[in-house]
Amino acid sequence: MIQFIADSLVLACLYALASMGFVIIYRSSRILNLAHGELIMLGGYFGFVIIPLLGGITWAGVILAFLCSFVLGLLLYFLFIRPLMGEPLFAPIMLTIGLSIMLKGIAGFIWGADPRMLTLSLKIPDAPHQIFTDLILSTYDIAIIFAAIFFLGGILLFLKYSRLGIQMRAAAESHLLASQRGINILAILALTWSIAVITATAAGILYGASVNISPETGLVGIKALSVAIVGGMGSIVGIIPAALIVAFAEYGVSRYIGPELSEIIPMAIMLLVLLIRPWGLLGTKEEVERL
Amino acid sequence: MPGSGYFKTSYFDDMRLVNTRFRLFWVMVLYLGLVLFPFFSSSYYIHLINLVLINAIVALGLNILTGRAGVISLGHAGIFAAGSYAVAILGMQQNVPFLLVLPATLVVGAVFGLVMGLPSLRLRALYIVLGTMAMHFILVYIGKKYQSLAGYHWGISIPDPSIGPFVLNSTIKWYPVLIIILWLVTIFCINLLRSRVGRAWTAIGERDFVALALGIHVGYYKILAFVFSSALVALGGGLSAYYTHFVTAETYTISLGVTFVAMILIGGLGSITGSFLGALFVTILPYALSGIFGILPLPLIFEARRASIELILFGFFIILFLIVEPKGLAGIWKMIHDYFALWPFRYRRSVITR
Repeated sequence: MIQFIADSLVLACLYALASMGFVIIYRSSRILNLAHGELIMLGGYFGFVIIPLLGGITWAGVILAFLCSFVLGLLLYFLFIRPLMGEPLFAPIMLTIGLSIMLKGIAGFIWGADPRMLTLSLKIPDAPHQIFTDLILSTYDIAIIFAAIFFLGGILLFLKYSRLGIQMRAAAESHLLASQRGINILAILALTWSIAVITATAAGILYGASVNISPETGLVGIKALSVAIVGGMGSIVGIIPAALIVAFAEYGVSRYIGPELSEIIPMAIMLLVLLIRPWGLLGTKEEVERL
Repeated sequence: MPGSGYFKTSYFDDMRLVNTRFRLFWVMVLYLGLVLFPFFSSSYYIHLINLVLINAIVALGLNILTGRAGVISLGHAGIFAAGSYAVAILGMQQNVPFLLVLPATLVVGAVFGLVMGLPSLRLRALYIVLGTMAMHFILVYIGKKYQSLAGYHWGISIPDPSIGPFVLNSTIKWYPVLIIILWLVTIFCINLLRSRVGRAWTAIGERDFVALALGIHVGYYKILAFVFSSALVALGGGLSAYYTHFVTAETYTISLGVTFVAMILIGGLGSITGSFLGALFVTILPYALSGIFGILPLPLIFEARRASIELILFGFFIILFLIVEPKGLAGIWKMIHDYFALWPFRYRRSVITR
């Protein structure tokens, strides 16, 4: 039983990490980034390619991977999202669909369709650790938990106390008012995209390390999206209960009913939330009206 | 047609689809081309065109919803699957004749469209996308479950359908059937879109608050758009199940739904011509690529990873059209058309219809 709870907790942390990017981008620019799953996948490949460059897993390698994703985020914003600013919301969403197809194709072209184990290139064995008598967690499970706490806490603190974070919250409230108070709205929006891509990379590396990475990994993004919806698209704190609900439900169903059904549990929960409380657990009601 | 010299003198003239002699001429050329095409072409090309025709039905259906009513749906691959399973259950297991199964797929699609559209009563644009996506996974799961319960673990194979004594067992025999079905669907769509219902959809797609203020029941018409588009998409799914002889849940991925959206985006949102052009483009692209790779001396890896290159091109074209020409191929077609229609003048006439 403890094992079950711990495993669900690890899954919840992974979902929290993966769904953060949706909320960050949605809050700042009201764009639903349907390419986020593919960014997670690309992050996994970044880990696969970049981290071994600096010899096994070192902090330098991880930071280099994050720097690359930072640049990728800026590029995405200025190449694709910026030209569509001011258009009806329809266009950017469609654009992210196109982007997701393209990223999937690029990854498939460069690295092939076979799933790869990231563990091999990271040179850290995925060793089991016995924490209690009936609780075993692997190295990467522990890494996932710490990464989720680090990123979630880091972003919440960043938004609350840092100057840039406060500017981001202002931009999320209203682009026009924020820009009239002298906030460089372009820089802020580009920065949120970068941060979102960095969290995607973290999620991708950890997912790739504990499962595997292939061009189809982007489908994780759909489950993460359901977490973001359940928590409320505009609320970062909402991710925590949402990730717990989705992960426990999915794991519980897979354990007690059947793994086939568990695949669609996140979708079913999302549909239920959309029908009953479209703005999510901790979102605000105006969120839905404003679109 | 402003400045053309054709004047409408009766209501009948106003309602006619082919209202000028110029148009009549070109429509006749089109029909003649469609009739003569199989005589001058190999069965491989007829097969390609058949696939385009099936996809065009899907594109027309989706365009009603996305192009007109302005609701993006990523779930129509699920509806497509529902149409295919309807064929598998009715046509294969119950031996219902082909001509009865097709209306049945329409009904199945309409019912699932109704279910899929229900959340749209409460949700606005962005959230409906997610609702339809969730519905896709649930529909495909039901299909998968049916397959495993009924004992078709590897997929359901479907025999050649027949209309009376006429067995559809080759591409050349399929061609006229598909042409006729597509013709009916097209005429239906054109007339539907210019009727009261179609105009209500256009109003909702442009701005739903304004539509509401004009006295249009937004929820009702949105659900109606879901019903009609899903019915057509399910018809496409049913035809494709008959045509490919095989139904399995692995075909109906979320990528298929995205491909449908790609068709209407590249073709042109809300445009009938655009649906055809988009279906043509998206269906032919993979075959054209393999043809190009056969000619060009490229490294082997290009051939081995052709599927990935297709994806890159799909994505690239979607983004390109969104940023550069949001009206898609139909917009380009219209630009060329206008250029020659207005020659030697260069001013743009006011655009009334989309």
